[in-house]
Amino acid sequence: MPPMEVECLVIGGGAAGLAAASEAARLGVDVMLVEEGKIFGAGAPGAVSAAAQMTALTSSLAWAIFPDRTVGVVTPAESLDVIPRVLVLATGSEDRLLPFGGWEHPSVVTVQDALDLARNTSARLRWVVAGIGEMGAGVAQALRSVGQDVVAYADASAGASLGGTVVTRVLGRDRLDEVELQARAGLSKPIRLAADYLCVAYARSPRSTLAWLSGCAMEYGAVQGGYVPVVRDGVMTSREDVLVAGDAAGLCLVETAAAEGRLAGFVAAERVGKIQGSAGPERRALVDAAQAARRQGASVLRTWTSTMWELEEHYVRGAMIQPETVLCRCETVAARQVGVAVDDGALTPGDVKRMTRAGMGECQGTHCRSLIARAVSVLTGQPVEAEPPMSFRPPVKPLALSQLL
Amino acid sequence: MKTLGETDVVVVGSGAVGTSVAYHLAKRGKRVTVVDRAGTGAGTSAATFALIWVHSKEPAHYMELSLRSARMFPPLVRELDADVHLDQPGGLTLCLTEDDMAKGHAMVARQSVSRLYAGRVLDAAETHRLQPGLSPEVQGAIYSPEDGHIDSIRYVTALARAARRLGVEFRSYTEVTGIERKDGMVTGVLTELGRIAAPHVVNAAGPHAAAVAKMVGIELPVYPVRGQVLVTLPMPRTLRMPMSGVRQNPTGHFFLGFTREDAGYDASVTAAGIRNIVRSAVRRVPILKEARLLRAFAGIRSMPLDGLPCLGPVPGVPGFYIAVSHSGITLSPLHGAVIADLICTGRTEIPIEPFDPLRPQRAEVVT
Repeated sequence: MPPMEVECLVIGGGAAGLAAASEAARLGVDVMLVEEGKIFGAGAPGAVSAAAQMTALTSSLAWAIFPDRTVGVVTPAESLDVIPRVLVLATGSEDRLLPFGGWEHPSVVTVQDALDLARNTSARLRWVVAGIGEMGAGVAQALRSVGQDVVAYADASAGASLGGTVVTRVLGRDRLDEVELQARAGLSKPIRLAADYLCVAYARSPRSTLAWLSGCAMEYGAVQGGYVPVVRDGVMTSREDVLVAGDAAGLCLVETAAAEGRLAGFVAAERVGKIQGSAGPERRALVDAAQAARRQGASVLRTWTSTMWELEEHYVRGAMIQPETVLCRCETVAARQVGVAVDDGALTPGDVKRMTRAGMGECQGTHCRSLIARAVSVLTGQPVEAEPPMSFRPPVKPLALSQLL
Repeated sequence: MKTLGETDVVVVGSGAVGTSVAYHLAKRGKRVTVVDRAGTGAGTSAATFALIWVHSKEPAHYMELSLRSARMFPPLVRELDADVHLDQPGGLTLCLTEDDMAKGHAMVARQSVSRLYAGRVLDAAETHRLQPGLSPEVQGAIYSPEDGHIDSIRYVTALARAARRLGVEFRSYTEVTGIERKDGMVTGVLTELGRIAAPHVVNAAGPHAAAVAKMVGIELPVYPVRGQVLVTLPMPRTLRMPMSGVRQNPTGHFFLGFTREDAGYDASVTAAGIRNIVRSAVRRVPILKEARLLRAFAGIRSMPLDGLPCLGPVPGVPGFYIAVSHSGITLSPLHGAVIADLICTGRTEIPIEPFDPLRPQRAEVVT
């Protein structure tokens, strides 16, 4: 099949992507919007619905970006090579787990998996939710609202009672038996709660694989939640033809995602020549709105992300002391093996990846990428932001070869 | 310039070949420093198809060299005492058309000038009996009992660890900037961090070997060639032996490949490259349609102009040796042993004359 040319391809149908696609389409741009999930706006209730004047594809994965700017997209019907004039990365962020003892147990789940499970079961399951502040409390509330039994919400934030409570480990073989919790300060005795599932809402990171593959200059930002494209004027990356909006540009609130999406849609329209006359003042207003939204959300997020990094370091250091703790759960790589690799001369997360297979498994490093980088940092004394990250390889998620024929 | 140290041998390049050279030298008591611009085994060795391949290496003396090296793997891997997934059950090149069959017969006839050659052509019935699950399109195959495959990353990691235990020093993420000579003799290697004094230098820089050779004024006609490779999630074990273009690791992961492209040092994968690999592999092994793609990557391999290894001392540059070939994994044990022979005794039993690094090379169609 010959490559398909579009004026603007928006990857991700959450708040940012929907706003970008709607704005660009409103301004007359030929837009293709690709969303991996079954519906648009799943993570952004209240976002505008996809406009009729665009090609809007759900259950469709943009699985790779190639150096010639071709984007590989698999839809339920076919496999497309799309060549956009402007690409908007609105890929959002993803939950990741942190390595307490037993975290590789299948009943230890991310927020997304917990909500999916809760919506698709008729059983009333017992949950422990572990999270940070109000955002974690929101997850517990969401589970309760669909009829689940939340036994406890363990809030790790310093402002919570006992200076925060964290998961120390989970116990159980085939099924989860108990979740062990302890005050972060470690002064009180641990308590154990019986539960069927543990939902961990400790960490999220921007989805950055496609930004890496598209060749954007990247930077590490603690507040942003990890690696993100270097952004100027709200949504511009180092590549003229690539824009980024929402969580993919750094963790943000839904209002920020929508404002950046609108700006990205407007800039895309400018880039493909749909805006007549001087668009300066209009663009300036959109840039100001997007930047103001990001600034407003920053104070809330700063507290949250700083706790996330504290917890990550807490657990990774803990894993070094309990070296059988797993750091990569797809390939079952323990902290001990990472230590051996560093003793054998590994200097970077990439070296550890080759020497241990950490990061080579099915989750494509979603969970372990940051943990391995942190472990190398702890072992070598080099700050995480100074380490070259593990390489990013397509596909973004595993896909059947039959989809590529 | 600051002197970082003094040693017997500096090896430039820490891939399969460089680490093997270092290991073999260290076993014979030499002090060795390995210098690499990146991490150990991070270049071609981490992005290869990792066949141990003999039967299609032409002409016959190249096949014999490859065979000799293939037979060195079992004892070497025993010494390394690590699970590197070495598996030498034989190998197949599948024939899909009558024309493929005719070419197969012709190649076997040419290779059979060597009495060591054990390859033969199988008809369709024999091929499908030997390897169930192939497409009915498969008309036959060239079968060779001594071919195999290995996990190249585990292998290089194990070689490097064994070398390190024997005292080899690895300086990774260190760029070599020059080679120092006095009265024509090699006296050391210059790096961005300082000088390492040594009377012997081995160029095992793979696709960067030409640049390293240039540092002593040698034009080495070795070029980068890109090969794209796909890895699937593990599947039940179905392939009994590796085939050209499709192999299955003991872990169940399929490796599919590979392309051969002139792309300079650009290690990107391409949409067309991935599709071609998928189509070709599914055409041969239909069950692969069900497999899930885990990773696509490309390696930059070294390709001498005539396709043959460049192995040995460099006349006129005493102390300088070259160990570069297109089949770095297959030939790594032998390259290591030969270079160790040459540096320790000045000679080797292995016939390397046809692979003189300075031989005039002309472009060949490489198999």
